[in-house]
Amino acid sequence: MTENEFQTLVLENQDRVYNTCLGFMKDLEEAKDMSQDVFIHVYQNISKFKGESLLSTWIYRVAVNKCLEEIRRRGRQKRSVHLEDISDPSVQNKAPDFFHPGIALENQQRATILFDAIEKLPEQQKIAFTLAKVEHLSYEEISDVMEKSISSIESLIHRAKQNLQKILKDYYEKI
Amino acid sequence: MKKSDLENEIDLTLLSIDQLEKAKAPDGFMELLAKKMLFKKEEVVWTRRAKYAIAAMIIFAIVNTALLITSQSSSRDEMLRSVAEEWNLNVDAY
Repeated sequence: MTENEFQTLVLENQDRVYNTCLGFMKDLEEAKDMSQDVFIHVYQNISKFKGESLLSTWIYRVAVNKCLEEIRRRGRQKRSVHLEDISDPSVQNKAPDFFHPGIALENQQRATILFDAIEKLPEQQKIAFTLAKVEHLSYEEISDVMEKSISSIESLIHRAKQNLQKILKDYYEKI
Repeated sequence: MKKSDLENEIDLTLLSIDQLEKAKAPDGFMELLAKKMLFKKEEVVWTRRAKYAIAAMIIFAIVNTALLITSQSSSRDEMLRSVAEEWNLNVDAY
């Protein structure tokens, strides 16, 4: 891949990769870093792209996998920190309130509560729901990215909504 | 909170990201990416150099140890030979 081809690829895909990373990482700086890592991975592994799907779908897949790897890594770290020092308040509630720049001001507070709730979903439901709601992908596109059937995606999003209702109910009953 | 209010709030929360506008990559994204790629490339070069240096040091150490052991055994043989000659002993018997 020449430098010019790579530059074109980045310019064509940088917004969607950044938006996807932001949806998962929920932090502007981390989303920027993660998006850069996604493109570096794409550059280094472009020979592995066999053309069985759209290039943009493959890039989405790389972005989702990179973000999930990082989230899982942090989950492991958090668990070990938690075991080491459960009483230290500095290591608790580290996830800051996330304000997505693309959400209208009047919806920011509710969206923050919803993003926190999405974090509590099982991984597959979280991916499907995030791609649908944050990236506005169709069920067909999500099925390509997640390499699952469209009916599985419908089921995942349906269950995600049900679980979110339960999580939000618990949240609002407590306050 | 009343049940109807609660259900209403849940619905509003679920709908809160429906009108979300996609975020755009920050300005200068391409330039920052190019810098990071260059940095990573240099990092790879330095890591490779460090690996070669360590490999060279290990080989040097192995060769030195081998030479030391060889020279020690030959000097011991010479010493035994000179002692044997001094005492008029058959050198080949030892």
